[in-house]
Amino acid sequence: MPQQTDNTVSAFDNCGLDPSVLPPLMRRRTSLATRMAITAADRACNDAGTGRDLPAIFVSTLGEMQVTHRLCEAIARQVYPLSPTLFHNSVHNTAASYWSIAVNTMEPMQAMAGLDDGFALGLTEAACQLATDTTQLLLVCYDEHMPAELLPDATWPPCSVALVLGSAHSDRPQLSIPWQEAAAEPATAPACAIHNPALQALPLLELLRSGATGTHCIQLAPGSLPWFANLVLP
Amino acid sequence: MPPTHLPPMPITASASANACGVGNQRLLDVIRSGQSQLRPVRLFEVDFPAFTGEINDHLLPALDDSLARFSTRNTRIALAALNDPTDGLRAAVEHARQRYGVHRIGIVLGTSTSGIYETENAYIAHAETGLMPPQYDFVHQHLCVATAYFLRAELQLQGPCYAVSTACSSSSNAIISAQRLIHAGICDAVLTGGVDSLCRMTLQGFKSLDLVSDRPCTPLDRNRSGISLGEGAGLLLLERQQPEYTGCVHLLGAGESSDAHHITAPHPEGRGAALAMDRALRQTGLVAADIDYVNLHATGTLKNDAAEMTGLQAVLGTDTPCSGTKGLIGHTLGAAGGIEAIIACLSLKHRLLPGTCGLRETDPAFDAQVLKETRTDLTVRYTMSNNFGFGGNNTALLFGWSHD
Repeated sequence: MPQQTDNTVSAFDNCGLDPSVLPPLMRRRTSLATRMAITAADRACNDAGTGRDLPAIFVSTLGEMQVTHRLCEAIARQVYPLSPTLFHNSVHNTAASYWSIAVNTMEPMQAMAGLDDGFALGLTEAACQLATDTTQLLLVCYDEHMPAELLPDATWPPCSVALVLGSAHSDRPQLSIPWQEAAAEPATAPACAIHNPALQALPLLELLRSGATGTHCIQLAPGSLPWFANLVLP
Repeated sequence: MPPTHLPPMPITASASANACGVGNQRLLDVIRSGQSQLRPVRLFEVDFPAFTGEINDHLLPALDDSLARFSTRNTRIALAALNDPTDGLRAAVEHARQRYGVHRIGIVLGTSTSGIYETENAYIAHAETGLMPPQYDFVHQHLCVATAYFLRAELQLQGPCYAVSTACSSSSNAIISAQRLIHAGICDAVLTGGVDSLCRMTLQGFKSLDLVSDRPCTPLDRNRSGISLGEGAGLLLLERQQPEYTGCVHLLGAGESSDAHHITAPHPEGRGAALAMDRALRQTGLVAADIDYVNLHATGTLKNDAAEMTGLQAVLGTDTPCSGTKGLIGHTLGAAGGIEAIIACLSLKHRLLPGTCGLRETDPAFDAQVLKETRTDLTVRYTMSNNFGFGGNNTALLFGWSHD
């Protein structure tokens, strides 16, 4: 059966999608979600100057939704057997597993899911791991677009973000453990109340890039009980 | 970095639902009897022989009308376990909620399926009518986090709430994440473990990988021929230590690793498995000779069982009693870590070592104390539970009595 061109991937050519850390055979079978996660992870490790032998946390709300969609279509038409490649690429930890195989690390890979609060939850999990098991880790937050039939009103731009985080270091930016606090005013929920959690990283990234100093309180997730963290910039 | 020694944490309540029925007592009865609950699948049609650990539909309660948007087989299985009066999990959560406050109780739930069964049904309806069924709600039914959100609404909690989804090790990864939340001081109690439900995708998927046995699975057997799927919930309430909990079974420690080998096949020498088991021991300061029983992952595939036993031998030697329990209720995938953690705890509480249901002749390549029959009236101090997932995700959990 001829390989179907994935038009959505080519639309991202200009965004520097670069999952070249994956060997070609592995790379060809991966979804946009996995490719975005791995691109971000690779870039973060390059940026941090660390190796890739790190524990990692992968957070996604939809996971491998495009692959799952194709499997559900096959199930609905009773086209069996299912594609074994699609099936093993449908698990929520696909990106995490491909990453660990590509960079040859035996460190633990966590794969989590929330809703809009995925980035905040990932940072919380990172804080917990840094308090117990490790001095450095990789956090990746990512989501691809979802099939239109499932949530027609969703605005859901694909996005991925990755950070290399370590134990406290006085001359680096430091993030507190995130916390939740009731919003001063009740949040008005939009018709489709979910957004790509990776986009919630933008305030943090903008502050890091801004050259600002001092302590800043940033919001990490929306909702009636939003997440916050303090960022201390030296 | 050497593993941080985490304080033992009491499991103040647990509850299960699976092919044995609802409640830990049913599970215990079946462990004692050694009777397989695997039957030909009934939930949907398949054109190949498939034995599964399916829960009788009449045991699954309906959700309250106010929470109907969450209604899936997955959440009904979770609710069945939560409601069992003998297990008392709901009451324990309520007690923790009153003691610590709603924001201090977390929910960290493992799942690999979530509401996929309902999504399959929605796609089937869509193919016939061009419309999604009116009761189908993608966010509250399909999403990985949906069952955790249902429990949050049902129990009226407001602490950190998320799902962990690492295939067959999901709920043991969830338990480890819960342990860290408490240790970091973010939560005082966490409802954890996991829930998974039968669906066409997993059965057809594993079949496409040629991993499904055509008869009830026979873990560790020289003639083993693959897995039998199951469904269920294994929920645990993990709390910070308090004086009144010193008599509870405790989570003592855990180890995690990756295989870095292949997306479906485990490392053939079980190196990742060995690393997870070794890390669990080092985190607790226990040694191989301390472990009285290992509940193996033991799925019944040629590769998993061989890799696991190689890893086990490297870390624990050849004398540690061990068994696989998936012959009783099937491989419950994302719930396996939670259900098998409960089995490791039942072993301690009821002074028994479960046998390996379905095993006739142990693979002669395994140099180990593999238990065929359940043994009772023993002193059991420390148990280990192994769970390994697709993509090479390995976990080992250690349970015991508090040694404070």
